[in-house]
Amino acid sequence: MTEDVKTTELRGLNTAWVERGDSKKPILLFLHGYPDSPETWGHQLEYFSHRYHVVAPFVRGAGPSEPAKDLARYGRESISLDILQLLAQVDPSGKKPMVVFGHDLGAVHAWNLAPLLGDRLKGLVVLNGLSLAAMSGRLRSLAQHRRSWYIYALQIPWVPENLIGLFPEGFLDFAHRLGGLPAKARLRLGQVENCLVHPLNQYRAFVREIPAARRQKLARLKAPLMVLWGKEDPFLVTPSAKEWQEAAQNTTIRILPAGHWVHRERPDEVNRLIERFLEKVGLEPLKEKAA
Amino acid sequence: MIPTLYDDLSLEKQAATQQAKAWDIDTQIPWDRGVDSSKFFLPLDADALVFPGLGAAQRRTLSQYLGLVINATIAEMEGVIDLLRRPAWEDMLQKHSANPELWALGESFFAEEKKHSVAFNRFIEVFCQVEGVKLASLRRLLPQGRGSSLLAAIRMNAEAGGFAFWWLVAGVEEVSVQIYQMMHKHEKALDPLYFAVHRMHLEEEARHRSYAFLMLELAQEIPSTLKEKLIRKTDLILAQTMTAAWVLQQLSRVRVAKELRDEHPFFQELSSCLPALSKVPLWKVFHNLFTSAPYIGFVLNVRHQKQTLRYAQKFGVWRVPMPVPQMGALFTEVSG
Repeated sequence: MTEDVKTTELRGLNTAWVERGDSKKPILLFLHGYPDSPETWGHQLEYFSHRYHVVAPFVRGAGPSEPAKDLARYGRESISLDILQLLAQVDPSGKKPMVVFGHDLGAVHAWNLAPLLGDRLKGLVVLNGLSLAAMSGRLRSLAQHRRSWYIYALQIPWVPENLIGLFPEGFLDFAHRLGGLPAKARLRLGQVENCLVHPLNQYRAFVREIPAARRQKLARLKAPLMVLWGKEDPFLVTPSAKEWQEAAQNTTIRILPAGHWVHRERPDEVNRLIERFLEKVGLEPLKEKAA
Repeated sequence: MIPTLYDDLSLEKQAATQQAKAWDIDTQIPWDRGVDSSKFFLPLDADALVFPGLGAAQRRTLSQYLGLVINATIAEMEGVIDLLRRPAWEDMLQKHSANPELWALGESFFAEEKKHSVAFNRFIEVFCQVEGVKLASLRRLLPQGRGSSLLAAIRMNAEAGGFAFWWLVAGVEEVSVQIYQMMHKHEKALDPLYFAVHRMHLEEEARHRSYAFLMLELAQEIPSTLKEKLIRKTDLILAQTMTAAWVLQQLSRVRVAKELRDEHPFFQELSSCLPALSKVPLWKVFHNLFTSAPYIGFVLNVRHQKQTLRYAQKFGVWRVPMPVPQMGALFTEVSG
């Protein structure tokens, strides 16, 4: 994947992304979570790059994306601004239709970005992830608190990054094991190089943003939403249909027998479901040709 | 073979098949041929359930009455299913995310159940028209589900997060198929319209019977509190006991025939069967109903419901112990 990595300076910091496929085709934007890199979308990037223009940024501080000193640069708004500027690079016309995918923390960014894309956004696909508003709505859920223990652990200053820096392989293995990801589907340390330490600041930034997120009244997403959810996720309680319907006008929920990394655990099924969704939202390239 | 909850392709195919093969109540059932009252509706066992020693005409009347009771039971049960649609289905799927196929199959399921209820009630009306029996009088002898304690208990259970409703449905679905299997062997001796209604019913039941088991499968997937776990452990017991209480209560309506005997020969013939019942000790009546009585026994004794029993064992839910069924041969005028 390294040959597809591009970099540019965005808002004063070097930012990297993976880009493949025909730049004239509609964009599929893939946003990764933590501890991950765009490699997490490997099966999807490979499968869809033949028919779409696929773009997968490294989140702030991950891999070649330069870390920031200011914690606010890891927050939702700042990362959305980074992604908007990145989109301006890959689609200077600013008119290409796109579908945004978000897994884990990538889902937080996807939800935040969605209203900023206007009519270009043809669909949102969320995989085992929530918006910050939805997550903050769960503050009264004991079951969610129990599953979110690591978020509290990552708030401790200095210690987590140093421990992870000392034992990156052990940490990655621990996270994958906990998330129920089978060994053969796991990313190796080399595939998430320099992606484990700085991006954990997102958790710190998000916790600071929670009060604002709770007050924020989000408009219901107009573009169709597909939720792909591994039901054995140990980090997130499976949301109810009602929870999704409040967030979007047109929701398709797909529960799959998988853990947190549903797209790596069941790539063929996930790709098939995404393909159908793209067809549903009118982003199927063959249809475009026929038209 | 029941597909798994997450096998979207198989479930989608099933939903499409159900939709494509759904029958039309007006055009596909030969209502205009009326009812042949010289024929049995259902074959009976040697003891005629709990009415031993009946003559040929009495056996035929009892068979017709039992046939009407079965129709009314299925109509009532399937009508009740519609009343419980929101708490037992919609709310469950809203509360716990479910795949689109489960929603689509559920929509078909409820639409079909409603249609079956209408078809069975329509047969009862045709019978009354052909025979000149007052519908309101006949209704006094037939089961009523609305306003029953069964309905109230199942609703309360669903509202508390229980799945007793789906155990009840699973049982009723299985029994409907068994009833048709019993009838099939005696087709020529049975009223053709009665047979046709049950054959059409069987077709759709066979196609959608897996739905209740899918919902029960979903129940196992839902993370639950200790209270909910306990409720789900006892769901089948609740379904069993409330159904048994309801069925036995509804069967006792046969005694109303005595009051109506001067109104129509059908009631007169039926009331003439009642002395045979009073000769049987009460314990034997109950014993027969749970062990040897066809149709009624299928509902009362979960051991007749092989698939329901298999799922109960698979999910480790508790159930009321039942005696081993001892069903004998069934007869009609022609074969008996």
